[in-house]
Amino acid sequence: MIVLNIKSFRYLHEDKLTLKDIRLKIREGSVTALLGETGSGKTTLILTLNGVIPRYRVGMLDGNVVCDGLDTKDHDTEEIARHIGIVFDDPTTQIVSLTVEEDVTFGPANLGLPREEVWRRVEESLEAVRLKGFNQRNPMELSGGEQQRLSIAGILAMRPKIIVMDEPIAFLDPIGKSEVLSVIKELNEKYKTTILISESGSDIERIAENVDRILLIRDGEIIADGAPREIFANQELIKRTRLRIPQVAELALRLGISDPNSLPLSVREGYEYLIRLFKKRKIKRIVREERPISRKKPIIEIKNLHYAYPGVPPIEALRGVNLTIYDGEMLGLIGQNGSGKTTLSYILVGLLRPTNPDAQVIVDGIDVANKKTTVREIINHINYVFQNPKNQLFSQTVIEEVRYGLRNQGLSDEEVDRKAKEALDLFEIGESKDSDVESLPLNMKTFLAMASTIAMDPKVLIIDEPTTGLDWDSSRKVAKVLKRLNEKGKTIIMITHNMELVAEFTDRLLVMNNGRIIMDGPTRDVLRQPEKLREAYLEPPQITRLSQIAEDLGFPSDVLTVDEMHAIINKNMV
Amino acid sequence: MVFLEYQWRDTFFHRLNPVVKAVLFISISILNTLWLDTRLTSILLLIAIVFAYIGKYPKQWLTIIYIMMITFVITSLLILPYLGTTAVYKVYPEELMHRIIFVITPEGTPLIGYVYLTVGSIVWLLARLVSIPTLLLVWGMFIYSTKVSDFFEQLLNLKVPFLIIFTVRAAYRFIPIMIRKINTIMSAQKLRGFEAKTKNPITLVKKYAPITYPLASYLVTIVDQVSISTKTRAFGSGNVTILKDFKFTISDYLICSCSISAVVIALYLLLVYNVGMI
Repeated sequence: MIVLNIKSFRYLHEDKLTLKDIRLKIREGSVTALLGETGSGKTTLILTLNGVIPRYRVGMLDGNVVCDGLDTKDHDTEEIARHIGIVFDDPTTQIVSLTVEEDVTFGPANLGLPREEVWRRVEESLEAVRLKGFNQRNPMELSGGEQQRLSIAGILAMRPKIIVMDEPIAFLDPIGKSEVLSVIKELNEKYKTTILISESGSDIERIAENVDRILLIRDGEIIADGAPREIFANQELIKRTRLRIPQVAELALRLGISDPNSLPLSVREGYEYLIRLFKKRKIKRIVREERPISRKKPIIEIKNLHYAYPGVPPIEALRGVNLTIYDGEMLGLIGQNGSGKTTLSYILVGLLRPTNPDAQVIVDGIDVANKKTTVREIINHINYVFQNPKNQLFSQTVIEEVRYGLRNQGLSDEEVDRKAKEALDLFEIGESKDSDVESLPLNMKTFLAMASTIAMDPKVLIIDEPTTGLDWDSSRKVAKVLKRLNEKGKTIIMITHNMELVAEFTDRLLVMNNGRIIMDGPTRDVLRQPEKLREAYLEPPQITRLSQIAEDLGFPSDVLTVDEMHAIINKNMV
Repeated sequence: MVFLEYQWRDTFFHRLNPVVKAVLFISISILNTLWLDTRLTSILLLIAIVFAYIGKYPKQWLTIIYIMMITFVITSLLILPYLGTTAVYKVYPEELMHRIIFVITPEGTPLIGYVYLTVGSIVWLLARLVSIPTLLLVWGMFIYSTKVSDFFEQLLNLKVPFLIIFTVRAAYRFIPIMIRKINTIMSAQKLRGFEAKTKNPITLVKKYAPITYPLASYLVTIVDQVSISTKTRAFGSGNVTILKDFKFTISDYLICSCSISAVVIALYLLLVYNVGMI
């Protein structure tokens, strides 16, 4: 049981209260979601649960927090950690050891468990997060998603009575997200573990299916508390908080569902709802207009590309990639964690070079595989925005960050200022140009990382997981900026696990698995093949899956958005 | 390329008990530091090279030795003239060691004064030039051939307090993290047109300056976050499970006793007969 009785919390050196009037109880054995936008106070609230706030993140806490009978004011964090395990949003900060196995043993070994029990839990936890066989790998060499799974395994192995996860599935591939949530659910059912998961909206479908209570937080206050259906049915509240709700629920609400208790949350419930709605009616056969992808001239041509990271044996990241990308495409590059997406990007911008001499990588006419071609030459044609904005930002202020690359391009001061302003305005962050980069919230850091690269005006832009950790509003903002740039002629390659975004914004999808491209085609065609996507630990968006399960009602199996599904039902129901 | 991190290989040194390895390498390091006689430090260098060969030391890591050597030579050349008057000479005649072989600035030079190179300072430099690669090789070998977890487990077996072990382990973890962070920042800077190619040292310092801010800020953040992380994983909340047993074999005892004996004998000879001094 968690009992929160917080009148207020304010960080040292901040004027604004970060938490206000939070009085709630989370009962033993429940699964609760804490939903809120980026910066709404979710992480702060979570850190009060084990005493990190106010002990290590110093501030004024008026009130008290009791977890599993321990008042955080009277007990040390390490003592409370025996009862409550917290998975942080940034996995790199949670990993404390030099091998995967060693990292998972850290928690249970600190609990002083019998040796055999520690090893048994390590094996179980690694299996649960799909990291079995990675035991001796260096955590720093894992992909972002794999690192997140490792940090989850580290907490699972401790088997605390309460598990709190701060955006636990943000970095994971779609099937990985479902797997982790099912493990958590299993822990809850098997050991009656109390679960609290924070979420900013991008993974709402999966969260909604797995929790029995939602707490909605905004500006540090809990503004709603109830069952998922009850919360999602409150349209005024959802509109006000700008949170996304599950696609099937959104569809049902648009179609006028009145009883919140019958609001569908899963694909299965969505299908049952459609059956009730249709009452033996069907959808008129939809004949789609063939819209071939407009292919101008090739801008990227890759032939027989291999890359292996050094090691014994070497770790093969790319195994014979062949690919042509055309000028002006808006392309999604998807695949499971560690499938080779980031390695491919690094090669395209010259940060890595192929390990096979016969590889051919031509970008906008220049030979990127050739070691004599410098990164400086390459970035005039193609550039890359890192997965984690923290890896890309190195200046002190926002404006300095954007100016850095422009100055290196040898532009005049006027040109530098003009282009910097344009780039910042794209993301509406011009007003923060003198702000300290380190103090920016995650969404602003993401916008800034993108702006500083876009300002340099490359023809091709690769954006690696631009929406990870962002709320839905910020994610859409990123996607819309990219779409606008694409409409102006830029070729955009968006690497992401956010299937809703790729469905809505990209024209073509490349699916990578195990260092190879296993699917390549128009977005609609690729998402129409769920079985094949599953091989790459991917799955179509919830609304597409609904259209696929509802084929017997006449739906095409490749509906991409709620708008499209809604329009089909409205126009074609007979 | 993985720098300064454990890499799995099947070699004698990879199989050697981590604590025995530490004793062996600490012994070499002690001798290497005490001795100023180039003939003796050369023997240690030779031993280190043989170890590196047996242990299949990664060739790429030699870059670190080159960089350190260059840095050492440059800094030594700056301080060497001032070693001319030091009283470290115990074996060779003082007149010889203090003999001036090159005057850099004549007597009466404002600020700097009378600066010159002596035979002694050159002999000292030679010994140190030989001892640096020895130190780097043996500790590079230790890092590369020792699984840190095994080393610390072994220390736990020897009843070394966990707090000490963890502190050392955390420090050990930061080396590769910082190297990776520097690489990442430099990659990010390269993607924004950074190029370090310049022969002007002032320009070079200016070009690398942007790294220092994010690096310092990252270091502070990561130390803080990792320390919180360890606490949230019950570090320091009670007894710690020892996960592996390590048993000393006869050869382990033999290597340890030989290493310790060598240090004791060398110390005796050095203190009593000045063996190893110049």
